[in-house]
This record gives sequence, structure tokens and C-alpha cells, in this order.
Amino acid sequence: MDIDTETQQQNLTTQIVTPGSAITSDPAFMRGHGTFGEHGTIYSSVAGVVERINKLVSVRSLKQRYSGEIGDIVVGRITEVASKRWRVDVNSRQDAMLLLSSINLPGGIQRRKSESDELQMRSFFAEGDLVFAEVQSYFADGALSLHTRSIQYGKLRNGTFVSVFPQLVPRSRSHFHTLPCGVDVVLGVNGYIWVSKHVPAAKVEANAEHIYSNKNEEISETERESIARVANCIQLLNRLYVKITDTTIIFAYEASLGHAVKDLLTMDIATDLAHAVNSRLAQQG
Amino acid sequence: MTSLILSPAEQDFITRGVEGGFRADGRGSLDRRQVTLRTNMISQANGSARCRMGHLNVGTDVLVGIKAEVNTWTPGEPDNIGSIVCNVECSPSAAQEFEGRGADELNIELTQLLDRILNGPQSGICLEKLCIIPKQAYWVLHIDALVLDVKGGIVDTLIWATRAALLSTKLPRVVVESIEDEDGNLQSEFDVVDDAEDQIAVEGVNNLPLTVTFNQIGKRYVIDASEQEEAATQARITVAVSPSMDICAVQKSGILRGFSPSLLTEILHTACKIAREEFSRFKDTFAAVLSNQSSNEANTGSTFLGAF
Amino acid sequence: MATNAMDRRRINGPQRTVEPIYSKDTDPFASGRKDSRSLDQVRPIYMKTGPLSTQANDLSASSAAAASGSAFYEQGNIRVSCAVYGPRQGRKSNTRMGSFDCDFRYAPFSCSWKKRSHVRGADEKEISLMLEHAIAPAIRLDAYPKACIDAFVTVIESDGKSATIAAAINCISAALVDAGIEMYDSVAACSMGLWESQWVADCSQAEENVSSSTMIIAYMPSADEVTYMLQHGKTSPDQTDQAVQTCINMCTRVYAVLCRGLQASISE
Repeated sequence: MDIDTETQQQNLTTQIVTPGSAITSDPAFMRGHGTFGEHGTIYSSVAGVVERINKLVSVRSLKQRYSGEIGDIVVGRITEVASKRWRVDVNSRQDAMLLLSSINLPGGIQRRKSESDELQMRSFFAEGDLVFAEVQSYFADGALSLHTRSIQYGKLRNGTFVSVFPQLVPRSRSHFHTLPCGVDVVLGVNGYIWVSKHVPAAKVEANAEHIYSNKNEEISETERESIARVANCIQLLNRLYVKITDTTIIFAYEASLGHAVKDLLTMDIATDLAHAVNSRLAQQG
Repeated sequence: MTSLILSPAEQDFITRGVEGGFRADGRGSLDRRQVTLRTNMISQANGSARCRMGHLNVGTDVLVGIKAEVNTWTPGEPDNIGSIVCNVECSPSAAQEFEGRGADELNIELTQLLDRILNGPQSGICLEKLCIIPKQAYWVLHIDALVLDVKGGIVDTLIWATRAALLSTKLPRVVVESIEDEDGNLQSEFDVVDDAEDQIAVEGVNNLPLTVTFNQIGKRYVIDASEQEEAATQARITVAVSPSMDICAVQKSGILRGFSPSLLTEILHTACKIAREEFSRFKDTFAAVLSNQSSNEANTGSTFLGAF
Repeated sequence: MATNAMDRRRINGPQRTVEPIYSKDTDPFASGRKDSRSLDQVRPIYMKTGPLSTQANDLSASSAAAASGSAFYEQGNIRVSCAVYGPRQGRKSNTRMGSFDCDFRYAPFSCSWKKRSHVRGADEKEISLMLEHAIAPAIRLDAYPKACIDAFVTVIESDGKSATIAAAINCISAALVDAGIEMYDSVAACSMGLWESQWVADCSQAEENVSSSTMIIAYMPSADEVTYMLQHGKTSPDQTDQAVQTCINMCTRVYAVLCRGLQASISE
């Protein structure tokens, strides 16, 4: 199924291809993700939609493992404590690494790293902890290197974890949102999301000594209900394949207020809510 | 049952939620998730059912198939009853750690639990009626369960699917002829009638029990735990209750702690109360499935996947 | 009665063998119980810790034994021995807590109802899991991170399936104490059978064959916690309730015997 150069402008962007379909033989194009080249022709290697940005041709598939880019905000779960680093599961093909030199030490940013820090690594992050970090760089083997060198990053507390498809979380300027209902949401680009009670920024900074504490704050019943409602909204957005941004979460939350929290996870109500969100999005623009 | 590790903060959040009666997904301690049920999708089996318990049509998914075979009696076996053979297998499609021999322990645990509930008078099934000719031939019901997906709590879904499969099992009718031979002994022969319309149900399946699994988290307990709640569970107890509100089996599992005797008593009483609700929910769901199927007969190609 | 699978590592007997069928089954409850126990009486318990081979001779010290701790337990005709290894390097290095594994085996000649094959059957594997669930809550596993504790139980003679499982639990408790492993409390276990609407304590195999229901409970008296419960067979909720209470009381009595036995072993 070879396409000639003139019709490429119109056809490429809406074309659906399967592995092995030839996309173009024009030497002017460069290959991007999801393609391979053979004998001067660019073929698709996955089933998906052809995307063309200037001279770059790539194929985006419906389901993909998260592959990290530098600057991505991710939520990860510590799987292993190794020498001077932690292994973090970020829903990608390889575990990411969080180096001891990339984290903030409690008691102020300027404290020098000591030997006892190495031995006490579990007092910072232990297996199973959830960490909010940013991708700093790549290692030689393609594994991501994370850092938490900012006061808003670090260990996650006071809430619950939701896992969604990575492609539903678009990259944007900010991934930490405070919703009007008093719930904080961390949208990891890798599909891991943390929904928690809102803790004012001032309180976070005042607690510099306890950034690695495992102790949750007191969570009242109404706060718990809001957290559950937001978490359920995110789950239904995920299930019905709607993009997950702070806007869509707020739309879904407002549309859900007429239902009990636990009913949000029944298929009928969830479908209605997804329709409501989509129509509001369409209205918005 | 799967190896999800929670952070201490998550564990504490879930525990405090459960102790306050408000779970992470908004349910109360005794609220159950949605159930989807389909029966008779496997044409080769005498009875089959698929049950899913979860949110948004994603949850713990168990498929049960029942095949009936005729077995010849050998000396030493009881001479007037049929038998039931159970087997449960967890498919690697449910979790990665189930590949290879990873699910062996879990398979054995579930098989023995199912066997404990079904084999014996407490199951309610009339094993005498499964005997074709005493001391000669009897029916063996092979119950094979396949766990397709796990999202917290396999046992309840497994028993629902097994009960639905047994309720929809149809055995071929058997005609027994007895002739007296020269010595005055009665010689019996049987013939299996090969008529799809002329089939009989297994007797006594209406007495089959249902299970309720209680997960202890902190000082309180929940029913129908999600994956995360199961990871936060310290001890678990499964109670099987028959429709006549008799307790058919009780099994505790969990290595972190035990139950105080007062909590145990409370759980046993709550189990009967919940079982009553579960039986009526089962009846309604099963009836809905049957009426749906009679109107969808032509669509055999998509009964397995479609509309499930 | 089933054909025995060909086991190439061993010299096999004839392929197809069956158990003899007894022509008359006597009612075990006719005129009181066979061994003249009352309905709520547990069989007499004898227990000794320390390796089996050095029972008689104190000079061959227990340091010669490979196991960290061991115990031999008798309850009527039930004879169970247990060896505990550990704490030692764990295979799966779980860092927060140690792991406890149990291996339960019937000796081929131990059961009245079937000659056991050498391969571990599914019911032995399940009983191993049951024992793990019953004993692990009593061990201070967070004191042994990255370590594993293994218990190997061999049933030398069995008389009553549920009673044997209860005896195994008691035996493992004793062996763990002998190995010096930190525990919250010893676990004492007891079993009961339901015969004609009456709960009978500690049933022998003949009595269990005629009971309609059985129950096993493992209990930690100091912590007041039931670490394991298994009930099988139809009972009404009140009967189950009553049985739980009675069984817990019996476990407390068994516990007293266990403690006395352990103290005696230490003072020797």
C-alpha cells in the first residue's frame, strides 16, 4: 500500500496502518517511533495511526508501554534498595533508578551527604513506597534516572493510588493539581496517579525535617469521601478512555455529585458521566 | 493473593478508612461489587458459567466448565453414589507470577477448598442420584475452574461461578435395563440417551452453598476486598453457608495474625446475614441470565466475549 | 485402589494393588468411646523436644543434630515429629519480615485409610499451607528480616485426619520453642467431630469416619487469638458457635500441657 508524494499531505495524518505496511519511500522523511526502514522505504512496525510532524514520520499505537522523556513528571513505586540507589517501577520496560545523590536529605537542602546516609537508605525510601519524581537523564542502557530535588517532589502520603493507561495522561506544564474540592492530584505521565488530601504548601515547607515520614495526617470523613470520589472519577475516565487532565477530572467530579461515591463504578453511571464529560469538552472548544 | 506491595502510608490510609467504615472506593464494609454472570457458553461441556466480580466490568473473573463422565465401579469404592472431582487453575493471564509453577500453591489451596465444600453431604448435591447402576457404573462430575483475572478475592467469585455452572448442568438421561439371567441374578445394562432435548438437571444443586470471605484490616473487616485492600489484609476467613443457613465450611488463611474469639463469633453471625442477601442476589442474577439467553439463542458466536 | 504411578527412582511393587475391605464396620460410639474417654476429653499427650536419635542418651548433645530445634509429639496413637531449621538466609529476600515455610508429610505406613505414595500429594501440600497459616502469626517474623524459618513435619502414625493436623500444629510449636525462635506465644490446637448433634473432642479415625462435621482450631491463649480455624461439614451457626467456644477451652488445656512439657525439657 504505497502512497505517492502528492497525497501524503492529506492522507498521512489520518491513516491507520498495521505492522509491515509501507508508509513512504521519499528519502526526505526521517523515521520516528514505531517505524523501521528497509531498502529506502519506511515501514510501520506497530498497528496505529501515522503521525507526521514536518519531516518526521512516526506511528503511534493505541497501547504502548510508557517510554520516558527527560523532564517527565512520574510517580513510581520503589521495588528494590540497592547500593546508593533505589530501583523504581515506573510502568516502563525497565525500572528507573533513583540515586542517593538525587534526593533531598531531611533537615535542609544543604546538608552534606554522609556515610551513615548510605547505610540508612531504608529510612528514606523502603520497598513499596511511592515517590513523586522527575526524569533527569538516561543511563547508558536506556534506564531512566530520576531526581526529587525540589520541595514538591518526594514521598507520597495521605491518599490512594490509581493506575491508568499512560497514553491518557498528556504531557503538560504542571502535573500537580489542587482541585476545588480540596483534593490534591498528582498525574504521573507514566500512568500512575496519586490522589490525596490537600496539604497547604506552607505546611509542607514547615515540615522539612519529616519529608520521609510514613505518618499520614488526620483525614476527616468528608475529605476521605472527596478523595474516594476523585479516585473513582479517574478510574471511570480511564475505563472509558477519556483523557485525564485536571479539567476532565473536575468535569467528571461535578457531574458525579448527584450519585453516591460507590455507584460511580457501575458501568451505566460511568458511561453517562463519560458522555457528560465529553460533551462539556466539546462545548468548551 | 497477588504480590502487590503497599507503602506504609497507603496501608495506613486503607486501614483507617476501613476502621471508619468508608473504604477507598466509597463502599461500606459490607458492600459488594457488581457481578456479571453468564452460563452455558461452552457447548462441549455439560454445564458452564463465567462470573466476574468487580468495578466497571473489570474484576476477578472465573470460568467453570463441568463435564460428566461415566465411570466403572471398582471394589473398594462406595457402591451406590456418584462422585465429584474438582480442579482449579489460575491462568497466567491473571497475573504474571502465575506463569510456570508460580500458581501451584494457590491452585492447590483453591482446589482443596472447593473440594471441601462440594464433596460431602454439606454440598446438598444428591450423590445417590448420580449412581447409574449400583456396584457397576456411576456419573463423575469433573468440575474445572479457570481463573482468568484477579482483582482481589478469588474464592467468592469461584463459588458463584461453580454454583451457576452446576445449576445449569444438564446430564443425558440414562435408561437402565435389568434382565434376570439363568442363575436368577439380575444383570443390568444402561444406555445413555443421545438427545439434546431430553436431559436432566443434577439433583440437589439448589442446596449448594455460597461463600463470604472476610478480610481483617486493622480492627475491622471488609467483604469482597479489592486488590489494594487484599494487600493490606492481615488475616482472612472464608465461610460457606447453605441456603438453609447452615455453615458448610470455615477456613482461615493469612500469616500475619489471627482473630480474637469475639471477632470470630461476630464474623460467623454476620456471614449468615450476608449469605441471605447473597442468595437473593444470586437468584436474581441467575434468573436474568436465563431470560437473556432464551432471547439471544442465535448469537452463539459472541456469547463468550460479547456483552459480558 | 488406584494404580500406583511408576516411580523410576525406587523399586516398585506390583502395579495394581488395593486395600483389603473389612467385612464389618463396628460403631465406634457403641457403649461409650473405645478408649473410655468422655466426650470432651483429649487423648493423653506425651511430648519431648530434642532430636529423636538422642532421646535416650543425653551425652550426644543436641549440638550434634543438624536441626535448630526438634520435637516429638504423641497424642494417643498419633505420633508426629518435627524438625525446625532456621532462622537462616532467606531464599526470597523479603526485607521487612522473615518467612516461615512448612513441609508436611505422611510416612507411607502412617495412615489407616491408604498407603501413601512417596510423592507429596495435594492434600499434604494443602496441609503444609494450613500449618503455615496457623503458626506464622505466632512467630515474631519482623525480628528476622531476610531470614527464613523452615519446619519439616513427618507423621509417623496417624489416627484421625483432623486430630493429626492439630497434633502437627502442637508439635511445630514445641520444635520452634526448642529452636529458640522468638514467638508471641505457643500455639495450641485441638480438633472436634460432630456426631449425632454432639461435639466430640479429639476424634480417632474410626470416630471421624462417622462424624458429619469436623473442626480444627489453633489458639494462642496469652494473646487470646485464634490463629487458625477449619470447619468442614454441615452445622448450624449455633452449633459452630458452641464448638468454637468448647474448642478454645480445650486448646487452653492442651496449651497447659505443652508448657509443662517444655518447662520439663528445659530443666533437664
